[in-house]
Amino acid sequence: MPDSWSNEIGAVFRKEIQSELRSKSGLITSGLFGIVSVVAIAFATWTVKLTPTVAAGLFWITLLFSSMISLPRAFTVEEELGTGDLLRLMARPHSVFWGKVLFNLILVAVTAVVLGTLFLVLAQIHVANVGVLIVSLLGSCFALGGGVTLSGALVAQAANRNALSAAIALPLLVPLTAIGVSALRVAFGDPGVAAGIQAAIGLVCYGVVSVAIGPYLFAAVWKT
Amino acid sequence: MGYGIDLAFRAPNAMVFENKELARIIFFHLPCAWGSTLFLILAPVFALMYLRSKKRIWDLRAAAAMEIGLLLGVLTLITGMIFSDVEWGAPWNWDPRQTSFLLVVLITAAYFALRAAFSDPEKQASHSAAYVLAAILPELFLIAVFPRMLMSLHPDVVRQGGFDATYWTVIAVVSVSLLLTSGWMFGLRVRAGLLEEALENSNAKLGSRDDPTPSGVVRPVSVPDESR
Amino acid sequence: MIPPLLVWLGLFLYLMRVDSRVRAAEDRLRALEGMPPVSPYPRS
Repeated sequence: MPDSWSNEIGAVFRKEIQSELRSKSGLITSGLFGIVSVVAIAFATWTVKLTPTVAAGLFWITLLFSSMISLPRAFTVEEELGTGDLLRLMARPHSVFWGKVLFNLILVAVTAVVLGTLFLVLAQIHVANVGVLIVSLLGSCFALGGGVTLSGALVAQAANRNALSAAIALPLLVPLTAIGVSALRVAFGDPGVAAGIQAAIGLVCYGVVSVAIGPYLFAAVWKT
Repeated sequence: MGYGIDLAFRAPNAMVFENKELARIIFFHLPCAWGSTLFLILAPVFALMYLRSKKRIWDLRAAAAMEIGLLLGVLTLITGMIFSDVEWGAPWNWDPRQTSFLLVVLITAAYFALRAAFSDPEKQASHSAAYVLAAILPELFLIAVFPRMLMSLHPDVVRQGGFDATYWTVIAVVSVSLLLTSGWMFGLRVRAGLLEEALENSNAKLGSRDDPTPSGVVRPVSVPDESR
Repeated sequence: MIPPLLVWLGLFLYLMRVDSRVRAAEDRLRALEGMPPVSPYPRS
């Protein structure tokens, strides 16, 4: 007898959190990658003062790539470990997707906070507008979380899924870079607050759409 | 199926109103771009029909639409690069419209990468349909929103004019013949796909033919001749 | 003006060839399954 939606979603979510807390693999992977990237960027731009747009671009790219490394694992690891079939028996596809998306959103948010702090400190970026920064970070997390999770869901059952998930996700997410950067650069000092907020809202909308259609597309590919 | 009439539509006429003759490539660039967009819009429709009905024919149609969309998209990029080289001196300018269309072409190419990664036809079909539908939002953004967000070298003749009436006639003629030709190719591709499937099925059943064809993967249009 | 015409003509002839081969294959398939041929034209 199927549980209620919130029970199922909650169960999947809790399971993800538990396995993550046990192994911390996602956090370690994306965290390390992010840290290394930020340090590399700081070294690469040692004496150069980063303009807001360049800083926003570098930060966004770092966040994008670290998401792409860690988020698709939510789905691919099920197939690799063979627990996918058990999950198919226990929960409906919509709730599986929702549970994993929620977990991934938390993961990417933590990554963004860590990355952001490091980035601001190491690259000596001056934050002009904290409000815009927070909104853009939230929007970016939402958009990246939703988009990358959806791509991961789509390639979970494919051959060479790890490389494929990058190949699939990148073209879909690079357009987001434009919006993300136009939001973040306002936070870092470029003029045009209204446009920045608009861009951040655009990011949130993208995230909403990804998460909204995701369960349906996932249900289409998640078979018993 | 009387696509023979498009033979009549064959005149990219000798209109020399542009600085250089090579600018007439625009006559192909625009129709290719529109055609590509059209097929890229049809593909999600077919994908949705597949997911609802689970009939293989819709998956074939979606794949064929993506193929032709990819082909026309690459042609758009190439003709655009030729024009850009003549007009502005460099084939690739990282122009917003140019770059975003390249991304659309990459998204379409990634579709085939995804397709190739599945051997089970049902999984292949459902995953590729899901991908096409997931890609709608980025593609819409790239084609319609992004180039308008930023300043672009790309001329916007639909809104701003600047084209002679005779230009539009030529473009219309080329568009129609291009659409007819690509529609024809689409129909042929779908039928070839159905034949491939029939061949696989009978290969599975009879097991005696010595003409092995690769299975499930999108191939160029060619039907093996059976000689007995 | 001439090169595009030639390209188009080439494409057109190629598509005609593919079309006739597809039709022939379909006819053969239908003959195997005992159904009447699709096209009224003879097999090539």
